Amino acid sequence: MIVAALNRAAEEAGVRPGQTLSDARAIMPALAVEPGDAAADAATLDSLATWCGRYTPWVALDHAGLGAGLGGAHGLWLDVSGCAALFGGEAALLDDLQRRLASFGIEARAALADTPGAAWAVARYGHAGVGLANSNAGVVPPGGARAALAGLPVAALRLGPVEVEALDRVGLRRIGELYGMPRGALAKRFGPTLGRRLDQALGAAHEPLSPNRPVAPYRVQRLFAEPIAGPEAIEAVTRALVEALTAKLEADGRGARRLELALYRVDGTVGELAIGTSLAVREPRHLMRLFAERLERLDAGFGADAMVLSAPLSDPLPRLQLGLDLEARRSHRPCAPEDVAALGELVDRLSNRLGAANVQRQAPRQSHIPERAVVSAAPLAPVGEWPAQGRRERPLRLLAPPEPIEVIAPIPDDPPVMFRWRRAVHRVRAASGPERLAPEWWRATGMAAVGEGEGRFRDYYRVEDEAGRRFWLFRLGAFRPGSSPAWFMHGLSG
Amino acid sequence: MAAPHVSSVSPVRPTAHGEHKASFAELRRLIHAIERATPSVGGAVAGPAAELAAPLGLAVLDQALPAGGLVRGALHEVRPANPSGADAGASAGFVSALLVRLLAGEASGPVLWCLGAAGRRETGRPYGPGLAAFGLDPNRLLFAWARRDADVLWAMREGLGCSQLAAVIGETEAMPDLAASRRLQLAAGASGVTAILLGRRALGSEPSAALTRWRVAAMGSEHVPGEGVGRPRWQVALERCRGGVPHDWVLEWRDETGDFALAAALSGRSAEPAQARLAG
Repeated sequence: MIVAALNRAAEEAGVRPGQTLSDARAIMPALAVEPGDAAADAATLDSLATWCGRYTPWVALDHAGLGAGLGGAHGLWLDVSGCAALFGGEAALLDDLQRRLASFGIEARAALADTPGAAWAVARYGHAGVGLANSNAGVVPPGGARAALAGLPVAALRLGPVEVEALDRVGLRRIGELYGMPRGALAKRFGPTLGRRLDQALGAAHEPLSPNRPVAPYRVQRLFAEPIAGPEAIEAVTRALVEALTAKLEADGRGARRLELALYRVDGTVGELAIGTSLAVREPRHLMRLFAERLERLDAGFGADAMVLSAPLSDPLPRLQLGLDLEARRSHRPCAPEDVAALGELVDRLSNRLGAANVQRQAPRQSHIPERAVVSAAPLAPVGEWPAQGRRERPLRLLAPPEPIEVIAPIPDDPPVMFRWRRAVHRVRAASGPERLAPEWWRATGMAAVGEGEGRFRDYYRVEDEAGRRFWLFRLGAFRPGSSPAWFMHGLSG
Repeated sequence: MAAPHVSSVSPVRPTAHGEHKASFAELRRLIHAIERATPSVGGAVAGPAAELAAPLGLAVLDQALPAGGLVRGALHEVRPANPSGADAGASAGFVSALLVRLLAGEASGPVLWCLGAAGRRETGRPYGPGLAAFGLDPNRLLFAWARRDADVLWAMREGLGCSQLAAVIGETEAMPDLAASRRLQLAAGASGVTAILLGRRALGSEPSAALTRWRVAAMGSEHVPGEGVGRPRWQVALERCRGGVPHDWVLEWRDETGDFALAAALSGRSAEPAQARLAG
């Protein structure tokens, strides 16, 4: 068994990651051991990344596992460009971050520099002897990366053990010793990684961070000196955030399609809530109304010290195309923007309570399989024209899926004379049909349409029973002597 | 009430018996009665559209309705004659027919159609191609799939608050209680949006604030040799009608023209005596 991670006490006693457990116990007999759980570590790192959203939306995970970390090799990158002012400067931000992490019982090293590479190096190797409390040591001033890295070991360039060892063999141990070396010779001897890492750390090569979550283009936040709790406070802050965000959207002539509200609790957990809208919206009253129904689910726990509202999805506003036929069919009045907005609000309220998938329209689709001739469409999107259908050949209501029925029918192609559906017997008084619908063999694979897998056609009949009830039913496949064909009830007619 | 509004009301046709007079005075009185019956919160007068009625296009029907048609901006209820589900198709058909008539007139805007889960399971979902063949434009229909009756009623109220809609259809299991039905009637009156509520298992005895209640039973289509199943037919009773007289008919739906016709056999027969009518 190998030591994967350790705490400060173990490290000070001389235990190192990568040692065997027996070696480690020889150094420190009192060592307490927990089995490693990589999945739980990753989940913790992920939730920590979410929590870091209070500082910046740009949070990236570092699971490369390189370098000698105190606890483990994992880390987080935060791109705080433009965010530091909110926290009273870079040093104050770093201090705030470490203080809060410490309050969750997480000991962390942090550094702030011009490039992800330099920040990584300084965080891991920069203040080994300085102590964690003095986080000022972690701030590398703009343009200071070259000087700050010069004295650090080459492993601080995010190099693998093979490269570190190769450099060590030729006596290159400090990053500063690489500054004067010709690039071509370095690449030839140590591979392309070294030069790239050096350039990335010093800012000569751009290194984009891929954020843990998509970064919303519109984002507003509120930080609280004293943690807030209670629904009134949360609602008031939400209202303020909504107003601030809609002002930003208005400046760009856009409206939100999706809003995400995050509440950062003092215990390090994050409460999240999202609302969607059918049309671009930047009317604060409407958005507040959508939030209002859900805000009670956002529990501040022991208090929240930050709230962030972001709009990951937005559309240009005004957007007036509307699929729903809003005009009277006779008088072709153009539909006014306020009418569109009112319908959008209605759809949003319905969607937020019933679920977005449960508010829909039907759109026609090219298919002669009845259940496939209709697809659900977004409530306000334009849809196509409906094909002209023969009168009364389709039912008003379609059962999904078709329900098996027992049928007595003369052979071979006659309509039923009697059938049993849902335990009730119906005697057929009149019938029309059959209408033969062939399977769509070109999409037969994997589709769930009844009988299609076997490539069997359906013969549909419209029937009326003695009580005057009208049904739409079908026989699957041709009649074959010796076997009774399967029949299905598929719809009700008026 | 401003006269120009009243002038757009479709006239109450003078009947053969001359019982009704299509006078503006009578219409005004009627409107007044409707508005008094639908008091708005805060004492405001009922909405601007309450005075309009959609003629059903069949003289005997429109004459039985005091406003000369289905009053817009009001709640109307439909129930199957057999609450076990046997008349589900017929009552759904009649609701669709009422909707065709409502949309044929002045009403602009889409229709919100709210259905509960049990109804969707048992009678299926409204089916676009079939609705189109029946005379409805599916592109005007917005569906809301709710779970329980309470959600259907909530969605209906939301829809009735949006005056851009032409109508709101709701399908529940039971009819709502008086308070809920009154809220629907109030919301419809305030916005001018017409509400039709189909209670799939309604018993007919529920108190209600609706202006009309219709009872629908399946009826065999006219048998034409070689034709198979004919045009939809229903036995339709106007069970309750504020300011009107209960009546029943056998109606045929002419989907090719989108209007009702009277099927000769049972026409004109008067239904059971008027039940207690509730003022909303």
